[in-house]
Amino acid sequence: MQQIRTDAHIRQVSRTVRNIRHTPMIPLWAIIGGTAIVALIGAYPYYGTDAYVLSLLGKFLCYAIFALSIDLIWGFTGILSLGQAVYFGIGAYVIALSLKMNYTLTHATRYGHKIPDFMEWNGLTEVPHFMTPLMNKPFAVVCALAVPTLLAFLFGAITFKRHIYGVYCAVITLAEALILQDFIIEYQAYTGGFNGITDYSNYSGKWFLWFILAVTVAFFIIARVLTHSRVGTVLKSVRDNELRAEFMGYNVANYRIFVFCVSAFMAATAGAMYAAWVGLVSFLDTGPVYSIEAVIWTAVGGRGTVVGPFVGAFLVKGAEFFLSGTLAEWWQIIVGGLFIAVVLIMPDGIVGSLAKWARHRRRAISREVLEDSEPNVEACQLDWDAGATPKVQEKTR
Amino acid sequence: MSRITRRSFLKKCGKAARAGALLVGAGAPYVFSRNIVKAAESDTIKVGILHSLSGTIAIIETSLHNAELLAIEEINAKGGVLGKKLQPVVEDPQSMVQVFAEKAKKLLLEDKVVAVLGCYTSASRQSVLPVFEQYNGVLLYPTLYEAQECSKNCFYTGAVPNQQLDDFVPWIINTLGRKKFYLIGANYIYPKETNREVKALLRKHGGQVVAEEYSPLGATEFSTNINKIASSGCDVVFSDLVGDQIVAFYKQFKEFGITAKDIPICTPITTEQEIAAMGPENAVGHYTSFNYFQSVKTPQNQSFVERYKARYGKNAVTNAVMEAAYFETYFLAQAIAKVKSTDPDALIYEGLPGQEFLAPQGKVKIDEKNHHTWLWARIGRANEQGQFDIVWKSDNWIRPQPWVPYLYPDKACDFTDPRVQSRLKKPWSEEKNRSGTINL
Repeated sequence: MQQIRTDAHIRQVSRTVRNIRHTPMIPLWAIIGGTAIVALIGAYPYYGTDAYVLSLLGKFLCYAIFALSIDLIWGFTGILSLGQAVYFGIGAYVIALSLKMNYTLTHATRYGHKIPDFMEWNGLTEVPHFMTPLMNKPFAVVCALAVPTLLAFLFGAITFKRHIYGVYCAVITLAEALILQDFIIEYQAYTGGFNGITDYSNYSGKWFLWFILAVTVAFFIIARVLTHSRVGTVLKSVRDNELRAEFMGYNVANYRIFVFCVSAFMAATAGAMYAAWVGLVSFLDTGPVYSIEAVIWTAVGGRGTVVGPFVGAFLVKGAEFFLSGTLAEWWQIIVGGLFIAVVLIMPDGIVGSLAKWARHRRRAISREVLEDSEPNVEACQLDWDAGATPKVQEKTR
Repeated sequence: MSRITRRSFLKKCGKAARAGALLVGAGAPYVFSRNIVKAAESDTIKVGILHSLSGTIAIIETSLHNAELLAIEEINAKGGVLGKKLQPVVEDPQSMVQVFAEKAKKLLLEDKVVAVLGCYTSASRQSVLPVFEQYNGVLLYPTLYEAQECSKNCFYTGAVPNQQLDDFVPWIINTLGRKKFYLIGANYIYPKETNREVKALLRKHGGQVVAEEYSPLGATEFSTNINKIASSGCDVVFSDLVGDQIVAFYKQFKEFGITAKDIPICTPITTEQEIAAMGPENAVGHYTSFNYFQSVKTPQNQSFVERYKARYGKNAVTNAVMEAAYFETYFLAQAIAKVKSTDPDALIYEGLPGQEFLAPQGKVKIDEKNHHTWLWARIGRANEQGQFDIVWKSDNWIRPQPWVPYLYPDKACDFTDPRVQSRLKKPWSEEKNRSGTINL
């Protein structure tokens, strides 16, 4: 179809193509949505029933960050970890231990000693020397974040440098979580064992919720920037075709180690905030079940998208929460059914499917525009779209 | 351009529909729950029920949940309390301590229940206690436990060690004539504290500890332990194993070829429930000390077992913890009727202390001072039917002692003590110690 090219046409084509090529780091909807959420929380009264809703919110934000940390390594880099709770758990335990030991300085146990109760019934009479530095809260915070990150580095250096990936890596991470869980139960004199650590003064004020929210926003931006930068493109290429990425000259192992450390840091921060906010940690917070749960949130929300883990964590946890109250006998079946339905109908998760659909739509529009103008412009179409997976491109061609 | 407009219009419609569907999907459960609560708000008294219906301890906790619902149905059938019906608000804490704390908070703050009947393990109780203390709620806890605790906000209707062990250990030594004890337990707080008291009792009555062993929770392989038991020269095994461990241990014990005549297993934990799970032939001849067995011959119990079976099927078995869950529901109803109010402090200071009830095990009473319950002691020997033949019964009900005098002579729990009362009068924000423990 021959058409006379007008200025308007050219402007429209170039605008569409520009829009597709350069998706902004922080899209407008995220800014608007984020501001709305912040305003809502600010306006929310903090007492009675509402305090309860906010306490849930803080917890859900921690879950969401945890899911985001899994998304970074699984969704964007293709490392499936079934033991991510190790990093979450260490962060949580370090903070909980620190707060508990500080709390017992002013609140003696039932026997009248100034040591945590679990140490007491295991026969300790004073806090062991290697744990006393944790009484210093800033040091505990540094420990809670640094130890998991270093551990992740070690883990990465051992496995990724030896080209262990895929299902083997998943099995090793699973073992890691099991080991830590057994360790915590076995060394109960230092960890509280099966009972976990509870009854210490946690930070339940609204200011701490703001803090959690600020950290969440920061991590959202970090994840977004990281995955949309050049590094992010390399990570995705590692995910999609490791060999090709290696032949291109990229040190695949180093990229993997890097993203694994970032993800462990995020998980540890989430764990540390969780322990300080909720006032309770248990060995379940370090175990494989919790890790796999978070993988499910990510899958439901949409792996390979930054918003997906947030949507997934809030939706699954929220559904679990409300259903287990109203339909106590049925909720597991319902949540399980929802999960299967989402995976079958929307294999890319909720956000992933929506994004895919939006991309199709944009592409369809641009194709119409392009068809109307010059045929050979089409050739340089969407291969540059960073978010598009090869499969999608196959279909559109 | 009209082509594009039509297309985009249709797409926008589709988008709106999807967004709407999502919203409805996400919002429905919430609206649903709100409506249920609202509909029944005015003419009922809400009671929280907090037992795991899923997860690892669901088997036993479901039975507690059932017993409490049965009691509530019976109370309602008789006209309820203060002319209002009791309305159970059921939550499933999924056998996870974090969820216990979260759900406890929800029941207190959002549902505003008058009291919560709940928890089974010590871990779950310890995780919810700070919540009850902070928001001044009432918890009724039905499980036998290690004691040395008394919280203002908790009423303990299960046995404490002095009600299970003080007669049991001397009975093993004097009646069974067995003095060399082999202690085996799961590695957590309850077995450790229980064995501390067993050892003190053995010192007092002239028994002897041959060995003391703890296996990780959930471990179900005992061949090495049983080997050691066989070669240790002990003549009785005292077991504080819990849950699935009990089933595995009894089975492997029998497979090894040790009979109850050679070395009997004595325990304060094994109930009819575990025996049903392992098969009665594995437990025959072993001893359990409890306040209640299904075979207790009181008219109250016969009618309780009948009603329970009528409600939950003729194969249902009753057990001691469930019985405590059953009568604690009556305690609560009577307490509300007594103070004619649902105010937590009225219930804690006037309603619940001193409350009596003719339970299946006999007459029971909440102690006026320490929030624990006067119970009966019994020793049962497992028979071929998976039930217990009661071989010994206490002459009278036994006063609960959260701090046993032979281990803690300088401690006691007394909520009528002026020192405790002045401490508890302060709000939680000023004084976080909500315990009734005093130094004598």
